[in-house]
Amino acid sequence: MTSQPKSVCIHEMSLRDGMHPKNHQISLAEMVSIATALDRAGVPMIEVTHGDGLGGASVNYGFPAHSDEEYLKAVVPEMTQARISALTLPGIGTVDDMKMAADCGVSCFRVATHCTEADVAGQHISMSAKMGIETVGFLMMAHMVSAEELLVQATIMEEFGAEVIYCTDSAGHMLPADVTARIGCLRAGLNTKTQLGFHGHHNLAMGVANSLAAIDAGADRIDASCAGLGAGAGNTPTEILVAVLARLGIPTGIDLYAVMDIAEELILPMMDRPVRVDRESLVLGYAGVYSSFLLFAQRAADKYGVSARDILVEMGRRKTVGGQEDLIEAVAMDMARR
Amino acid sequence: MINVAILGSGNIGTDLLFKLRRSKRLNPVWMVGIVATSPGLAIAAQQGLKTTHDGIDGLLQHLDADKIQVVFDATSAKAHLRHHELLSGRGIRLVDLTPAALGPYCIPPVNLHEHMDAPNVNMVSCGGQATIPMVWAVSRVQPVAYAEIVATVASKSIGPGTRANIDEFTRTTRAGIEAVGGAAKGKAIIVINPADPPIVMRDTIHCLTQDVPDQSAITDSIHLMIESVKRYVPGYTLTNGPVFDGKRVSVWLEVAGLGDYLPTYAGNLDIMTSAALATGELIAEHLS
Repeated sequence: MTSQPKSVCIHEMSLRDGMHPKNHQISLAEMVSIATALDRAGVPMIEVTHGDGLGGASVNYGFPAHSDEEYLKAVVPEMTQARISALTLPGIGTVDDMKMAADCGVSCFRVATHCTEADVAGQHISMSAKMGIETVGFLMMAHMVSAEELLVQATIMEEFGAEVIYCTDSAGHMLPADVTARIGCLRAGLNTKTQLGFHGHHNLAMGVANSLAAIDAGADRIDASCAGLGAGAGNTPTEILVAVLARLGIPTGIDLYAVMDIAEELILPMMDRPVRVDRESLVLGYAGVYSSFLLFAQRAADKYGVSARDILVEMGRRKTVGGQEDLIEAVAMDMARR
Repeated sequence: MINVAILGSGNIGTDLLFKLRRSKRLNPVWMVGIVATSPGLAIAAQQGLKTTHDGIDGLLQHLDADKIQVVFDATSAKAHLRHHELLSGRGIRLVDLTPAALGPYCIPPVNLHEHMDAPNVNMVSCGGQATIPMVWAVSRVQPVAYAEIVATVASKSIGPGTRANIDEFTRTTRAGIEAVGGAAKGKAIIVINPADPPIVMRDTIHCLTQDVPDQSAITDSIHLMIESVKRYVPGYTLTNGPVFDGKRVSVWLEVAGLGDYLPTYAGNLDIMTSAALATGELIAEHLS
């Protein structure tokens, strides 16, 4: 690995992706105390929304403890330097939800589509760009296409007005060489002004290794989460990544001990269950399945007396994409009938 | 027979043409496009229809001579505004397959007979046609406080128009869930899946009833409604449910199309054209 002199922007996920293992039940007080601690620790960007983005409140994905608007209104005014981003998935969230988030003061929109469906994000990306808010195109489940196909989709988002393009390993399935190929191809093919990002899941324990591969191949931004709080086996743990980047001499602007303390003192005590590589989250990574399916599969497995692992493998076999949580209960019923 | 014209020679318009050709009440006379090389126009010409690629302007002068009484609009919401302005003043009945929704929503097995005199009826959305009958099947038994639908469709079945304005789907379907489905509050989610071979349209419907659900009455109502939809969309299939969990009632469906012009996986488009046909046929019955 060659050392990179340029700095890397860490984008904190515990208050958005971390909503998944919390069944979207993080309290307003927890949101504010974690966000203010992250802000003090020098974390430059923090995402705050329902785990499935703006408008995710639903039977299908889970009703949150509070609305996106309540979370954003509580957190945004408390920030001294950190910028707050909001995620939105076209098909779930609408431009109306984005206008609400803009009114709450978010300074970055991340518009997410499946890695082959960038053209459904036109309305959302272009509206964000027109509002002068930093706009990120977020290509999910990026392991399902080749680097070249990913570039085609990234170019569509760039043309709509995205200033940053993410290669998103939603299933935690990628190995470092997969990340190198995709980020390298995006770097070579996209406008030199377009920044690149990588979002990892730790299902194969590759979060940190994949993030380093992404940085080495030209990524400017990395998503990470304190104590890894995120879907599946969680995201790349912020405190570990910051320590590793410090060893490599790559500046992040983040106080390492402060994020260690946030992980240990604020996030760990809040966990309903350990967010770790266990047999179900490992199978997500192994079979290439959307990380947020984990808890849904476990609940359906309990209800219908089938194996969560088998449900997840079947979801993979059916080539499901992010958002198809509704199919999990149906798959469990199909399996129980057999 | 009532003479009709189709506006829009894309997938929807062309699939509708195949269905109209089998109709005993409706006679497709004109197919209107805006692109000379459109495959839909070529197919229409082969089948003996008159065609124009000058859009609505190419049709207007022939309306009287060809006794066009019903026009199906399978263009875009924006184009429909102009079509409505030009046609409704001339006493022509419009069946709107775009998200413009100038007229009342029509979901054939729920409210087909209610709007037979409306000059313009709207077909909501593909997800709406597939799921609103199920919401109604619950709400006709007892009040539904909230209904949510998730439509999962094959990437290949979603055209550029829908992709460019996916929020129209979300908004129109939600409005239809409330206005026609009878839910106090609605929500619609669409997921696009690129799997190859393409997946058949899947729909999940979750209703939260106001009081404890009457399981046997709701189950009967859902099965009856499935049969009603099957009469015009034979591939409309209950795959799982109803599942009762507290006040939640959930139903899982698959919608396979007839495979006329669009492949069978595109049940989402087929259910729109089939619903439009059923609507047009009833209008024709009233007119004649």
